[in-house]
Amino acid sequence: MIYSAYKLDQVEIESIIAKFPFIKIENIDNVVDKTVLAGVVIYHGSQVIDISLRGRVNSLKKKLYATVK
Amino acid sequence: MQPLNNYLNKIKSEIHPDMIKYRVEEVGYIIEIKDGVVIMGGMNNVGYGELVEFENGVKAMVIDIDVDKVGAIVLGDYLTLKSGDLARLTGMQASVPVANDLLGRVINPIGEPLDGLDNPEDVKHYPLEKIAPGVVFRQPVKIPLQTGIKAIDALIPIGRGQRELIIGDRGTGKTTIAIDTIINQKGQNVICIYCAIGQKESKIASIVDLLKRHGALDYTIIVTAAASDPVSLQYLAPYAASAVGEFFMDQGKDVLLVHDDLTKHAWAYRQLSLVLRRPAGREAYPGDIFYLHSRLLERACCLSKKAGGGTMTALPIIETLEGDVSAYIPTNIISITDGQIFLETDLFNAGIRPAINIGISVSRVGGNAQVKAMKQVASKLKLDLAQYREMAAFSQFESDLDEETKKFLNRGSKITQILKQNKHQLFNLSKEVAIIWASIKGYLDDVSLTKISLFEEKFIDTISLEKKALLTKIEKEKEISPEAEKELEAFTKNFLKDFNNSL
Repeated sequence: MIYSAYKLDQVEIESIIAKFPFIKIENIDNVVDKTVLAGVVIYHGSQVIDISLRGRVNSLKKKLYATVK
Repeated sequence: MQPLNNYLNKIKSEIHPDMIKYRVEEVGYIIEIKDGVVIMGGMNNVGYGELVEFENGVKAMVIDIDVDKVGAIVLGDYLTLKSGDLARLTGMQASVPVANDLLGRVINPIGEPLDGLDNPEDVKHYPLEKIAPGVVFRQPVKIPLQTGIKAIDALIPIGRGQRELIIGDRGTGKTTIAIDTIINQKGQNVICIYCAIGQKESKIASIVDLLKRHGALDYTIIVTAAASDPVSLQYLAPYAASAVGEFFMDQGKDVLLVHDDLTKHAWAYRQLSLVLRRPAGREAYPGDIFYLHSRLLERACCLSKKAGGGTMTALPIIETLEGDVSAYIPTNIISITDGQIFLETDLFNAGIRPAINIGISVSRVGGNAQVKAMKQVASKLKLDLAQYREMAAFSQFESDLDEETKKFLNRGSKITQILKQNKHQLFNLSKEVAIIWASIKGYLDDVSLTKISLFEEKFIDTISLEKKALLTKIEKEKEISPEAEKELEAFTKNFLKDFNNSL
């Protein structure tokens, strides 16, 4: 299952899969979720690969809070 | 504009699809939320004891792994979670932040300060659960841990690295003994940790205040999971306290750890286990209730010189109901510890405080954990008391007794009086030795029973005024040399004369 900010076309999906060979093409399901902002979040079983802008921003937020504290 | 464009171009050239670093994370989702426990799905590669983080930052520790479900105890506010929330595996074991600055602080089992002060700096993380050091890292317990309580130091000595259970009904002075022991560690280079499990907040506040008044808070850390805290925190509290203790023990320091009390800890674990639907055994406790306490108390130890030479002494407290020591939890802990101090309601009400039943209290480390001076007086004391107990039972049936028996009875009753001690009035080694010496040598035989406490008070006052050098000598040499004994004898005789005259 791939979450993205806009509907991905076949070329984009194929290029993602080329990166992650353990994902099988027939299982792919593209879900549009605007909160992802940019990039994609891939769910594979109980594993998650977060390469979205949301994930990056969140981790930056965490780092900032940790240093402020 | 030019510099900005340059900058942007540079960034563009640096960003390349191959540059994207990614991490494969394991996630799960909440199926059910119960009292302090969450049941989750997903998480195919979860480990036991692993830390899980929810979206809102609350953490949980995995303690149950099923075929298709994972149970975890929530370390924090479980009311903020809802079913369906995502949980991320952190790949870390649950740990507590420790630092030298922790001294004098009040923290909860996950290391958050509860005294309104800042987080300590320069922290290390120590795992909550740790396998205790093995045989090769240990050495026998030899150095005494002075409690400042005459009856304990003379008859049931506690050594550094020992585990001595304090057991008794409610209101028999269990906490008082533990707190007095902490207060007496002033200047002894012992770090004290008081772990309160399921106690009233008011009681913890009064203990903090008491320690502060006696100047004992500077070397004490209080780890608390109060009665109103989630059971998950109550369950973790003694492990967290042990982790803090290990931090200091690993620096080669001596640590005293008080678990107040393990009965409530067992209750907390029983609740968690029942909520997790684990099979219940005797008294509805789960099957691993023995291991729960044995793995905890085993972490208290006396490390060998090679392993750093630190020690961790544990004083677990157990509350019995109606003096029933054959209940499940008391028998378990009695068999784990290296001895126990029995406190009895009857003795307490009879005015014998501390209400220690000397007959059935033992210390399995025994004389090894006593200095020579104490050994010199304690052996005679034990003998006198044992004879007294035997005769006292026997003499209730006979009216006229021979002189010898009367002498034993008289001596025994005086010694019993001498072993009484008011709370928070602690004796250092030399004073303990001096007063016990006076009682076993028979100098109190002619003092009337009602005057004993007055005698003791004046004796200690006078000796610390007039014979300060003698006391420091005993304190330093840790034995009563023949010369010291002569000096003590002369002083006691003189004092007794003055005392009798002043009456």
